[in-house]
Amino acid sequence: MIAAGLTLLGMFALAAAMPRHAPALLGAWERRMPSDRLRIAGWTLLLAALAATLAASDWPTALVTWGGVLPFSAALVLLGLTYDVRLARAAAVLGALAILAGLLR
Amino acid sequence: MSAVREGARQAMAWLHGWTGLLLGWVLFVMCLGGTLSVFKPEIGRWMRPETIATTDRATALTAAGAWLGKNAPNSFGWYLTLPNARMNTVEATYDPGTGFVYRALDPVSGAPAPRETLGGEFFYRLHFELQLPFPWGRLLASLAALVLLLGLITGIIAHRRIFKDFFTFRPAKGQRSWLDGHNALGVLALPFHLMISFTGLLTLATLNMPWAISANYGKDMAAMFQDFQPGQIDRPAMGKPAPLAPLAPMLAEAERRLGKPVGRVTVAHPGDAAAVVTMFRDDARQIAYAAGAVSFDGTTGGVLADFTENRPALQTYGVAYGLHLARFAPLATRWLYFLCGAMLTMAVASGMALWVVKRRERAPLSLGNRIVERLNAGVLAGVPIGCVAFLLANRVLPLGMADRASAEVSVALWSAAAALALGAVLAPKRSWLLLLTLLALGCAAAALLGGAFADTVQASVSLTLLAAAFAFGWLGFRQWRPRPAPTRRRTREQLA
Amino acid sequence: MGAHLRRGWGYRANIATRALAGSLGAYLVAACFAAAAARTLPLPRLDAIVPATMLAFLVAPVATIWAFLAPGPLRALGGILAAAALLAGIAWAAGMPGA
Repeated sequence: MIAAGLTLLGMFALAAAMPRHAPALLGAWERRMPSDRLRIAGWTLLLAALAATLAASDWPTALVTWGGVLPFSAALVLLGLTYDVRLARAAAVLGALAILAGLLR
Repeated sequence: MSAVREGARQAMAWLHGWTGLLLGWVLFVMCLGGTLSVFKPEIGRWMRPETIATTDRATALTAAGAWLGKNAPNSFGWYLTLPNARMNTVEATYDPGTGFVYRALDPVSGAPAPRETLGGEFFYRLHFELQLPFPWGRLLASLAALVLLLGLITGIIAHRRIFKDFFTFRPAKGQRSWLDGHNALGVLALPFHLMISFTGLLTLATLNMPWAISANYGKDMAAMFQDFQPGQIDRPAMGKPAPLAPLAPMLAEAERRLGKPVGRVTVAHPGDAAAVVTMFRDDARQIAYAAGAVSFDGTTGGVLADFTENRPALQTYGVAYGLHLARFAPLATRWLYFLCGAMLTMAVASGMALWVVKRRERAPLSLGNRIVERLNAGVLAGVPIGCVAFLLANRVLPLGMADRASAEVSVALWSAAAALALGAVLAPKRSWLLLLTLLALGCAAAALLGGAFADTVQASVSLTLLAAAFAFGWLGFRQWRPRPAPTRRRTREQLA
Repeated sequence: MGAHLRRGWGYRANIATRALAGSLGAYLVAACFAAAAARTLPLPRLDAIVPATMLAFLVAPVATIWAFLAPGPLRALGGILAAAALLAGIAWAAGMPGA
């Protein structure tokens, strides 16, 4: 659960770091978040997601779960960027909520 | 970007396209079959709605052994898979005197399920054998898998801005959209695609890359198998009849020694004095396949061998094998496998479509490409139609019919052939519309005929079919509604 | 790949040679690699088969790619055959491992 949330946020951050997509995703916040920091944040979040899966089970299962969640977080952000940016922003919020839910359990 | 690197990328793109074209349709069938096989037991349950009893493994094994003892006493071997959380029947492959058959046995009575069907096994066989005789089906599947691996690698090299384009998808722009879609489907789930193609090749390695084995063992395959699975004893029949000892105590002993539940049971030479009963650890409890085995003397029940895999190289092989079969996966992971498999299937399909679209936008299609265009419709829509026909036949064919299982398969193959013929004869716009509509109707019909919504497993299958019906219906609708097509003829420079 | 050779017989021969080298040739290289690795890796004879076979499945596509990136079709075919011969030689020299 936590891993899923972390990957969602991570993907969002990585997408937001790209100059092509930043205006759509960040809107007014674009000036506040420099692209390289977003990129580092994005990758860190993805690695943190891997760590979360490793903490939850043995390493083969963890890798499989992490590898499985990655495409779908990316796909959510991609669909948002393509069809409705609010979907992508919602994905980021969903990611944050998932992390919280996972931590509180 | 140096000129040399550009040349290399173009060469890789060329190789990617041509090898993809040559084996794309075969790959499509394999990926579709494989994706459906993720839910092989669940589909099997949907296809045998009468057989809903559940018991524990020992009772099921005893019942199966009793029935098989009466009905297949001279079989070279009985190959059984015990019931587990996902599959309530005993899956058995045995020879009742007329050649090997595959049946699901009722766990209480031991007799084959009244609705004779291959169940999910059909999609499994389609996946690695393409419904062709041994060994040609598996060799073709191996070749396709190798081409898939090659395609993935050449695709990665050829993709100029793989990271920058990661979140790019521009719909309704003709070739550009198809390319974006093909890339997205391929790149987003790239770790999965690489893993599944590599591990898939490995599962057929004894057939397609046996040279390491023959280098180290020469012709002595018996020694190889003994080294590979010390827990399994192989010995020839003695020709002396002797009754089989009770199986349930052997099961208990095997589970005690292995420390884990048993999944598969093999009875070699049942009814002979040299019978051997081998029990394997259940694949669902760990990633690795065949992680441990115990062999018993068939007539006395005494232990002959007991082995749990502890060699790192062989454990690696077991994990790789297990990663491909995904039997270890809990429900959520299983759905991830299914969805990633669907992405791979669609990546292959979109690649085939892209081949035609790209050339169509450049110039009127050559004869060869027009054939490709028609075959695309026939195969990409036709194969799913065959799969749905299989499910429909399951509900429609009478229960007591002779050779019912083969009849279902025939219906599937003939339906696919008919769809292929339609694709060849009709103009692509019409054939796509017709075939997609048929596909949507077929899925909806199968979902409705499926019924039995009380059982969650069967309900899930029916609901998935319904969702598929909507998806295909929507695709067909888009095909019908006239869209502003990009008719500008682009020059080669613009397309580079 | 030389645009001036497009559609001419030189182009077709180029592609055909590379295709041969990249298909049957690449498989041959992978097969010889599997045999050589299985015999030379410092592992028990069954264990060695696993990494040998796994790596062979990586050698095959790499060889195919090389066949199409090599400077010329004859260089491609020659390189593939040389690699296969070298690996076969190693496998033969190593001899079948004992039980």
